[in-house]
Amino acid sequence: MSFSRFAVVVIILTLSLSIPTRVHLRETEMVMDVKQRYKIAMEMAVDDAMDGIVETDNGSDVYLNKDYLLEQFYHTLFINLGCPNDSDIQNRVKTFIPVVLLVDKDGYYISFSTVVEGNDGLSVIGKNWTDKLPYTYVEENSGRIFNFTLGDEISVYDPYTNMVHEGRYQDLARLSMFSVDDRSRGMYRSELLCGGRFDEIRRNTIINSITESMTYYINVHNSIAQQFGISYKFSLPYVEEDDWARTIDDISMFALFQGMPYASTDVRLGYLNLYTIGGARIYKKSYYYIVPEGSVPYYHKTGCEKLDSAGASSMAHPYESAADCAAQGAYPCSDCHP
Amino acid sequence: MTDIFGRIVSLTIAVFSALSIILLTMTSIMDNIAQDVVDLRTNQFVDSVRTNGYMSQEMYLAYVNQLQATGNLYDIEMTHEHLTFVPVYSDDGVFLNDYQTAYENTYEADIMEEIMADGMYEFSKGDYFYVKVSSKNVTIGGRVRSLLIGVLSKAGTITTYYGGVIRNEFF
Repeated sequence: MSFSRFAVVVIILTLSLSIPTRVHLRETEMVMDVKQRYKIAMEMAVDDAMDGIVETDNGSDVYLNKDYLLEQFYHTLFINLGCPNDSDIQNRVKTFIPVVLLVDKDGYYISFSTVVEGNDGLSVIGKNWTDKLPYTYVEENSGRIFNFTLGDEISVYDPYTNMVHEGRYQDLARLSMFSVDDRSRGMYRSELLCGGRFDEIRRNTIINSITESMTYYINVHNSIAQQFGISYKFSLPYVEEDDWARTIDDISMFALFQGMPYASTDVRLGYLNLYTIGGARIYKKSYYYIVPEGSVPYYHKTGCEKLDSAGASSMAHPYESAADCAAQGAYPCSDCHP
Repeated sequence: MTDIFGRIVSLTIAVFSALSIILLTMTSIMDNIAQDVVDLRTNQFVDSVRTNGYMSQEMYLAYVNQLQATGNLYDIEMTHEHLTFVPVYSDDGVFLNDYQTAYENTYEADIMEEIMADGMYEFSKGDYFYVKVSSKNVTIGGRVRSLLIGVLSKAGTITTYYGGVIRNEFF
């Protein structure tokens, strides 16, 4: 073989090997980039949503502002996906989020998909919250209905006495109506409370309840997504054992992002499928004060210089939010921007 | 004689092809690294602002210098969203027992003006701060691609978005 022919063979061989390798490498890089970008966006969104979700917590009473949670979640998500002001892309993104789960101490809520009418009269995907769904367990022998919490507190409905008992499960287990087995007197020993498997049963009940509800609402989303041209079959992914442990440990949130093709032009590359979990942080409120300036009332946040000259009557009446102040007819201060 | 000429041409094409592939790969890797650096530095900068509740001149200049180290020029679009609650009054000044919410947006021009004047721009807890960065020039990888294989590249191939809620306030 002459040298020139040899060179041509080398060129053809090099190109035929390097070009497919390069194409494959670029596809892999692109998939990794998309995965990473969406993972970060979801983590940020869940983190921001759970920051300040607990509005009041005096040790026992907790109020979760679910609408605030969804607003924060989607706003941060859209920012990090580069579409904070593009409602078309935002609606498209919402079709890839079948459910958002909020785990509360004595039950859970699921944000599920519905079809609503958009501003321009066209149908768009909307999100609604379910009512609180309890962690319910029915004891086979007695027919008692137990409602669990994420801690040791439970409530029990006894169909024989038609009474509800509440308290720590260790305390209830000491009561004769739960610890003694005397069928003639309608007393059934509670296997759940006295059998030593309370934590295991509680944990399995919570996980099963959540899984069943999420699967149901994911199926609801499947039928809605089809109306918006999504043929992907949404399903609950396998959730790691450690992730479940984090979810049912305390107030937390679970968001699922699924079904978006890595490349819109080439579905062969697969679909994005990720979930993110975040825990709540307790929000310590700062206070607001209304100070009249002439005939116009203005509200200020703690630390504003204008509060230095405020009268004692103004400072004696703090408000918990800027919204409370505006509801009293006060304008925001132009210095401290509350 | 013809054979020698053919050999030189073949050798040149072979060397050019091999070098082109290496050059394309190397510059593509450089672009990827630049994208990673922009992502990382932007995340660090925004997180620092969100955690501290303010942006100082030093923080901003350090961020810009870190971006410039990639060898590209960037457009940095910053947005500060502040949620306000405003009472609703009728035209004749009677309070209607209602209020409206609105986002007051401040963009990089005003943010920069305050940073240059006061050395610092402050945020309130619960505000939103986000940044969009995109390259203004055609990157080195784009230039090499258009030179060697004729694929025209546009500016803005390096782009990143990052932002979220302000977590703390500066007192």
